[in-house]
Amino acid sequence: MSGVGRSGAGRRAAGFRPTVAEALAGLVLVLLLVAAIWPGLLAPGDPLAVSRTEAFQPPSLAHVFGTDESGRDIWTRVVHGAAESLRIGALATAIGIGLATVLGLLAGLGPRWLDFGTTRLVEVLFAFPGLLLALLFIVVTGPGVLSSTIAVGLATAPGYARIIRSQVRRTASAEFVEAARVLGRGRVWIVTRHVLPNVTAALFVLATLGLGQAVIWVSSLSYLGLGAVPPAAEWGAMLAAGRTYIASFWWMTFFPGLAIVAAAAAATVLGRGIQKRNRSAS
Amino acid sequence: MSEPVLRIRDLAVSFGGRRVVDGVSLEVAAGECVAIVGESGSGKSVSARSVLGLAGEGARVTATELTVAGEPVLGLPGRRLRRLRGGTVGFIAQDALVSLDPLRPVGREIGDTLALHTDLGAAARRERTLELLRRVGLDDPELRARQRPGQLSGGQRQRALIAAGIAGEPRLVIADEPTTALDQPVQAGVLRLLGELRDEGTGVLLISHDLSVVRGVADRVLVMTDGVLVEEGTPAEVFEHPHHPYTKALVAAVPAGRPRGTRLSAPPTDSAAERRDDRSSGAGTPTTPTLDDPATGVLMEVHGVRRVFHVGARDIVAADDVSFTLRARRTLGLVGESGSGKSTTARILLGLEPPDAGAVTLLGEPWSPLPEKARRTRRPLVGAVFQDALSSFDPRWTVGAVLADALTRGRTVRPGRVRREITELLGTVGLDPDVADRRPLHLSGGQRQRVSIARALTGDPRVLVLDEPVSALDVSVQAQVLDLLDRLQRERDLAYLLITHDLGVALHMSDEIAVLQEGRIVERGPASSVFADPQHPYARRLRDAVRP
Amino acid sequence: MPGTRRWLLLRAGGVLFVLWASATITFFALRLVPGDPAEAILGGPGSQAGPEALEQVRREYGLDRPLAVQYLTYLGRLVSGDLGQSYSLHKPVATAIGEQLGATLTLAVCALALAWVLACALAAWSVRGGRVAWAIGSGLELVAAAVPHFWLATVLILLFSTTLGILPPVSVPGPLGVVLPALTLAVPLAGFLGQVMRESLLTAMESPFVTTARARGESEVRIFWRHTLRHAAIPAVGLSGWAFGSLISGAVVVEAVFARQGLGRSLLSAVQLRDVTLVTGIVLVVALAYTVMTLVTDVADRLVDPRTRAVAR
Repeated sequence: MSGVGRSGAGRRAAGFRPTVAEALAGLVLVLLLVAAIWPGLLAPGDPLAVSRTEAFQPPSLAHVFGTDESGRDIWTRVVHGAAESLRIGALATAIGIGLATVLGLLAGLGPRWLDFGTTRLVEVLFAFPGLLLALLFIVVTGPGVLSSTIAVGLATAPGYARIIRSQVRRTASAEFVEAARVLGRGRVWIVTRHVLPNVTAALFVLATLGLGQAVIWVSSLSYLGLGAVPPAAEWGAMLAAGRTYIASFWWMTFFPGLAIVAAAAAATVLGRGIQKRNRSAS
Repeated sequence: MSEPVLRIRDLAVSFGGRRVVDGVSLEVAAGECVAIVGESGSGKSVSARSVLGLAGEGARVTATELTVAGEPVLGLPGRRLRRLRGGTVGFIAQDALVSLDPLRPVGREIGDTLALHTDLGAAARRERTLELLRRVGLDDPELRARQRPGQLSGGQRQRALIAAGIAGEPRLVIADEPTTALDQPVQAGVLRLLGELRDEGTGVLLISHDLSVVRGVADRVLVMTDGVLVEEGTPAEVFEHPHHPYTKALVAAVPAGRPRGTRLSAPPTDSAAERRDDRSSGAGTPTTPTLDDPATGVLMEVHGVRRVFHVGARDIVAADDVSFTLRARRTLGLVGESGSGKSTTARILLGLEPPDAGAVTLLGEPWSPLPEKARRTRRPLVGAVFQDALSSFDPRWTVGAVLADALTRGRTVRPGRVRREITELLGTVGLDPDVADRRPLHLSGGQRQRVSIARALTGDPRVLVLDEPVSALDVSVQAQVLDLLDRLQRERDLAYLLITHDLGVALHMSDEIAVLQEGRIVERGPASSVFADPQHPYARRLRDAVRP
Repeated sequence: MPGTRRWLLLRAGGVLFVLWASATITFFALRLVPGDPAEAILGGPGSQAGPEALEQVRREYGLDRPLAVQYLTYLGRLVSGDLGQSYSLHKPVATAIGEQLGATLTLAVCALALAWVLACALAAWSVRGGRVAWAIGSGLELVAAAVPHFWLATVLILLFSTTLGILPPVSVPGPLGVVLPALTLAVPLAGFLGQVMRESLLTAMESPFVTTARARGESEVRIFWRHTLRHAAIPAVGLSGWAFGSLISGAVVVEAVFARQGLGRSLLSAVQLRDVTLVTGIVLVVALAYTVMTLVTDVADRLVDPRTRAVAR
């Protein structure tokens, strides 16, 4: 009606120009991808090259992140670890979201009894908070990279399933779906042309946001010795290895951790950015 | 006249170089009600809020004079400004549901104003709060004071908001669209209350987009458009003999009291579609559609339709023994307050909701209840225009995609032909062909509703269900859309079911009107006479609301 | 209010259902471990349990009887509070949990309180500080939410123990020992809560009722405390159940890093030793606590936000 809210509009305005944080996050993501695909570009050395003479060197020009107990260059290991860490994180996210999409669609589109059953199942899985479901899974299958990845995927699925279900429900009862029904469109057509595409946009956001969390979780499991194990150049495993030396050689744990924080924060910023734009566009 | 409570000279407001108010000057005397009328974006609200220093973040406000009761407002330090707000000047916003904190009892909100602007003790404040609630006409003030906005009805809330606004005994009250969210009978009560305030010696600055609201209560009317005041005078002067072209258009756009078939909007000169419209009806001359025989041309019949919703343990009767007939070239206006069952009736007609009892027939054959499959082939015969056009489009689709989808309805059609038909369709509703490439989000409200009408026309329908088609639009845009609908009806022999809460719109558009209350039709008759002598008390209240 | 009682009954029923279902899941998790279940109970093939030990377990758990009987026996034991015997600790699981529960709860409660204080303080500061403070506040929250517990713990130890030497690097008995672990758990959580609060704070600050309050002459500080903070807190309160869950899983890591006694550390070593009985026991107890906690937040939500009462009939 009037000028109400104009004041806030400036702050909320989600133009398509990226903010400073989003530009930074994009840069981090590009660096991570480069590190994952062509690690040699950023760190030409061998991540497993042992050099007894250069053990425990603090950060310097020769070794910007320092060296570890076997004289391996930590910068090289962090760069080469990106591929493994991101792959595990992405796989875990894919498992979680894939499972959740099936559950969410069943609940959101199926008949009432199916919705009821699926929702209860999700509710029960939800009762095992976070890592607990993952740990329960690992105790059954035994530790390892694959089982910790699946465990994280499984543990995150209930949360995603809830979101997807409500998104499906919301879209399915939207006014534009009613308009399609008035035009004589059938259920299948409405689901494939209206509901799924609109839900996919939300899935993309979930996946981006989830990737950051998955990286944290998977590396946590590695840190606890339940996932990837040293000497693999995976960030969590590197941290676990550095744990012993924490009091004297801080750089061994500090820098791999920084990489995790950067990856998780970048994913969150980008995910939120997309979310904001989606919302303002609908 | 003594010292005016508000004096504004050459007020200008700009946001980042964009000037939204320019050279506004006005005065409000004690015991006077001055109204600023304008459409959205005219700058009326920003002007009024500038008086309180609340024009908004990033606003640059300048004026050669801006005084409240002799005290200059511009450049006033924060503390003094806060004493002015709520103390000397009371503010009443629109829609109390969101303008009062939904988490706090209304009594607390009033008490806050008292705590800020009086030196009453806690007990005295409580007493005064109850007095104020009584003053604004609320029954059982003890209970109301404890209730939250969500627990009150729309009218009660708005009264509570007024009580909070006048608690500091202000000399000037600024009422910004105080009746916009309210049903018409409730509006009248709130306006009466503002009138009483004025009579008691308070200066009232009333902001509204609704001419009929202003007419009954204002002593002087200012018309504003594009940040500039273009007309000033008594309501009689402004509404009977407007001078400025904008005012003329605005006054002509009001549907209330204009006979059926009268043009509301000025004929545009650049649109082929509108030129065609000019030939078919002379501007300004009433052309009552000639109907050979009312018994013929029956398209849709509704027989004793009933629909009950079970909400928890309660049953809500949304439609109860509703019966009516829709005929070609005829409009049935269905009026009633929010929650009276209008939309449920529309959904049953559209086959989106099965009736619990009763039946709907289309061209003499069953339509509802019926399995969707049996209805689908005849779906093109019935079109729908929704209130909120924007949410009736998939946010991911362009206008072209929306129309192409509606045109083809699953059949394979050559793309070139679809494109041509879309262009033609857009022309029919007065839109340029290049609108097809845009998304509904980036269109204006009027354009969206035109697209929505275009979609409804795709199947070459016989019946259109119009659910509040213009209630989200400004008066002048509303006029254009109503004119468009009127023209289409005559050109295509359409039957309309027009659902609206706005009696003015209903009276202007309809041949027959049915009044719905709690799911039941309580009054019906020809539009020309239904409110001449209403039998049902509710219909009487409605009538009183439109003619004060 | 009959509506409220009905709602409470329904919710309580839901809690019971969830507990039953979690018990069922853990029962089958036990059976899913590859190989001989009796061996699994004793720590898997690596345990090299003697035949008589296996025989004893089989008898105790009724493993020679039909699955349905085993299941019912299992449920019956649970109801009477018997969670089984931990092979690694050589004591009943219930006893082991009882010994550890207090430490973890203390940690979780301290962390939750600390997280709330941090989140609210940051919100209050960035509301008052204008654009720059707003940007800094949201940036801090973002980074905080992205920090893994184990890394934050490391950094905090480096800072407060190794460099400043004011706090112990491993958890010692007494209040001093809980500071670093609680801080480690609280920071990421405060980041999450802060993000949620900020979002709703923004919405609340742009609501018309804030204009009304300004037009009444309220100062910005009073508007924050009386109006917007409460609106901002509602969604965050709703998250407290989830927050509790994330604290428990965080405790697994944090207790390990700080070598602190508690449920999380027992759970980790049980997973490492594949003490299935102990793992399922702890998981069940946490699920119980978590479900009850969720119920409590729902009730709290209803109290804080009267609107839910009107809508969720």
